[in-house]
Amino acid sequence: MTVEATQTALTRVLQAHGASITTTAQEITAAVSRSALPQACAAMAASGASLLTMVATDDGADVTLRYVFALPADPPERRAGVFATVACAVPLADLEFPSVTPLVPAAHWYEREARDLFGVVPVGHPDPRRLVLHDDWPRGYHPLRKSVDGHSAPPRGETRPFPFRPVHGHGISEVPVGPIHAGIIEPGHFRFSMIGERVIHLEARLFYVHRGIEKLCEGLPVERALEIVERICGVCTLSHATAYCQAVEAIAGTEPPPRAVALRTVLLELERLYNHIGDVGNICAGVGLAVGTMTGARLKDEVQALGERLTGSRYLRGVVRPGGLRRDLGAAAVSDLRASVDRIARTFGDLSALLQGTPSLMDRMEATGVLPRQAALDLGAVGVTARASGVERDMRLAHPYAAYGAYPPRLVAETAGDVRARFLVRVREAHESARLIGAVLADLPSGGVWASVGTLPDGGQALGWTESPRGEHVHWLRIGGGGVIDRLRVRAASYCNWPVVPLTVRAAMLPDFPLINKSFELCYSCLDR
Amino acid sequence: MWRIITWAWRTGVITAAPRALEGPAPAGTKGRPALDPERCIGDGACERACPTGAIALGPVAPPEHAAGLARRPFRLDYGACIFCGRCAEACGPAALRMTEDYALSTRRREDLVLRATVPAVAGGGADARPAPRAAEETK
Repeated sequence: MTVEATQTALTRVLQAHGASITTTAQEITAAVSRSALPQACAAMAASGASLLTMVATDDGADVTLRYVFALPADPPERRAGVFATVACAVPLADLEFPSVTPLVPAAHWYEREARDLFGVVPVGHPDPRRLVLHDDWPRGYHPLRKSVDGHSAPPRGETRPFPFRPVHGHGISEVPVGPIHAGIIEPGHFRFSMIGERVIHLEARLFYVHRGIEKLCEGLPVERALEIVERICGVCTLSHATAYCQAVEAIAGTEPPPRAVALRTVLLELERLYNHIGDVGNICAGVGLAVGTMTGARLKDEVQALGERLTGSRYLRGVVRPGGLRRDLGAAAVSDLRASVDRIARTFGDLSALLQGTPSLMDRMEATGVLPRQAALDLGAVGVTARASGVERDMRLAHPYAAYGAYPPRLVAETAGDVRARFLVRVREAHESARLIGAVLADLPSGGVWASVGTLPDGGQALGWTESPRGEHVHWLRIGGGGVIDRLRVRAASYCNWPVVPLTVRAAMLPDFPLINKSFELCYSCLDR
Repeated sequence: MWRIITWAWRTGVITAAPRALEGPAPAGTKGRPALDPERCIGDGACERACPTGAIALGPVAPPEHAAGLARRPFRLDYGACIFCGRCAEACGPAALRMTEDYALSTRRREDLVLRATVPAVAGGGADARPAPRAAEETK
């Protein structure tokens, strides 16, 4: 859909709610009253828009809630990059507002997070329990309010156990897993209710590595905060850094030089490549197929060693900055890149053919961990998780950024929504990444790789997004006085996908859980921040 | 299963040699920032650029004799360093440079702290903003 058509469609929906509309290059914002909020959001959802993110900000006398919606890709014209925001001011004197979740389930975690971090109360929300702050944080202490000092340690409250929903019945046992796991993975707690080997119910308790990233960034100059943004997650480093830099560039109204845009695209696809290869290996680890695990690990290491030769960092840190790139790639580096990616992709192709010809593996993956398409739509799942369940959502196509407008990837989707589908999506996307890298490198523009973004305007605000290996990351950034950050809201792909995981283990046997979890391969760090 | 066995047989054992045997780290690897005290002007640009506060410059001591330089203590804690390279970028006289030296383990925590005395000749001032260097290039 063209920019104009998108704007018309969105404006029409919003105006039907008597909202006052303001328009910027990226956003059409409708300011609504609290009572109109759920209906306005429901109308956006009914018109086919999906909830992209929700940002709460402390604006002095009120907490403003911004529900940002995006229209899906509409081939063949895909140049949108325009979003609709339903904004609502909740006065500090009376922090209650009607919850949007009963009408738009995808809003569920956003509203619970806003409650924990800002103190606003979503009335009618089906799940009133804490989400981000664990139960030893004191009541009434809301860290993201401006009145709370981000550099002081919060007082410890009295610890209360998290109220997991109990399952009653004869012969039901409860199996707690984590947060300390039998492997080098991030912390999360999973409470299974079982009858024998069958899982009846799963609840996950996450946010163990909530580090207060967003609060840490407040008051920092944008280049300084980039150090922190790059370290939100180890494997989505470049995706987060690029989404953030794109938000800064949108605020500044500048674009990086064409060579920087092209190289960013190549490196982003390199990040996707090493993640997908490693994730395919990890899926094999979920069933104990060592040859798959080890080959995947070896190939992933080759991509990361390539990344280190190119950028000095295996995780591609320190290469992107607002305005472009920190370093260029010379001719020898470009040929190394091309040759290595070709070689790795070929071996990966052989590996995936081998795996798909292994009935014991395919049998474990088929019909395991099914995520129904409707559930993926209702809860707003993104990325590989969504595409494997038949939801064709890919920000590179729907809202192209970097060089994806000129070099669109082929959309890879499956319909079964099981582990096998998520496995196949990754295999095909990895090959598509290798193809894209070759295509962009074949036509690499010459010139510089950095152009200053200049001074950022006070009150400047914009969105930056990337389709990370797990799905879309969305950064909402607002600049305060003196060019420092006033608010950064990081909504990673895993934020949308963690809630669907418990839906996929019903009736599975417990040993299938590691396999199912690895088929999603979600980031705890991205989620928890 | 037969295909897995032949795959494993054909692949054999693949060993990536440890760096110490192979040679230096790849060019551009961000390792230990090294200080050349003679080139330093003590303006504290590195201290301001460091995101983790690993660098600290102490108070300026007056010169020992009339023709001498004013000096100040310099402290870089490699235990707090994240090897981002911002200090080297900010350093005008290139007194701080990133090396490719990544083997930094020591037996004692205090051995991770680099201490030096540097000239304090800069007019610099607390508000001097480091000029960003042009982008580096991987050849």
